[in-house]
Amino acid sequence: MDRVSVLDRFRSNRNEKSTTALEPEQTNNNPDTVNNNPEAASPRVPPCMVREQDQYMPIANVIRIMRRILPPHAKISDDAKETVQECVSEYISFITGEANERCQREQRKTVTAEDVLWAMGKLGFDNYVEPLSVFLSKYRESEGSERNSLFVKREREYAVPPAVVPGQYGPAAYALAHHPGMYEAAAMSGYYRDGGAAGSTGGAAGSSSSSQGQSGVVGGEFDPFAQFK
Amino acid sequence: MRQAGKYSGFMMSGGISGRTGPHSLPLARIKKIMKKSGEDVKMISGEAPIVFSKACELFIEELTRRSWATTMQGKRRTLHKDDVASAVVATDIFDFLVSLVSETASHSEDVTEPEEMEKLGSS
Repeated sequence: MDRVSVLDRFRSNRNEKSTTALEPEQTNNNPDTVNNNPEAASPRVPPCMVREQDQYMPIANVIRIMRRILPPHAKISDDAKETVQECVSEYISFITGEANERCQREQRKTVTAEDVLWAMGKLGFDNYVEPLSVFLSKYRESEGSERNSLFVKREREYAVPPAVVPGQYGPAAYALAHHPGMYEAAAMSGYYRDGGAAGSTGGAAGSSSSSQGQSGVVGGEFDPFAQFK
Repeated sequence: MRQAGKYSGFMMSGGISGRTGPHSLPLARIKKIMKKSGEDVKMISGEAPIVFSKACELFIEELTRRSWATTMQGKRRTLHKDDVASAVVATDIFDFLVSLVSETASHSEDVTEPEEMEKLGSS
């Protein structure tokens, strides 16, 4: 199964590194508790008594999210909190590793949101892809509404059919189809493009219209450059 | 208990300004972890950490839900690390975490890294 080989590579990759984010020693806060062999508490490198917090999500945030799920009377042990913290970091690394490999295969330098979504789908987290796609499109809408309307304008100019969907992001395409206002904008943002927007962040014109020369000011309903005049 | 909806919290009070909202995870930290995931991770788009901030929420929620199911089976009210470990073992897509939860479980042996690979089979 595909995922098995990915897991093997992931694990061997982590073992090769001299400092992994989640070394066993670092999680061992209490080397002299009953569980531990006292001899093991004095290893070649003294174990970090304090976990390096900057390699994890802040524990308060993690706990807050956990509590959304748990009933009010539930308690969470400290080691459970720490374990979940570690799992989150591992999750990020795992997905990023796969996304990055895809970028390298396609000779792109920048890991994009699309790569991340793709990696999640590939690694079995496909039920996350749709909500994340919606989240991302709403984020783009809130962040770059002026830019997006510019792209919509260009779209009409060049009469490029909005996003001939290659079909890579089945759920994502479905989700975005329900936001007609965003449809062209998302396409122009390179959302459906596989590597077309080489390294550019969301909002760049990654579509097939390569001509950038035209200023985009066309006598129309609105002038997206009005603010710049 | 008030259950937060899937998308709650992210469009509160005017929407995401892009960095951190009241319920988001810190983007800089996410980016740091992403960079650490491989020597060759060069550049990361601005949106990728934002996707991850939401994805991690979903991940934590799912992991917690599954762990709590084990807790309840044991008729307990405190979620322990073992419950998390059980959830990991029982869920296919959490396979990548198996070594992590069994590493943290075994303090008694002085384990060198290559040996951990073989230990995977036993959990």
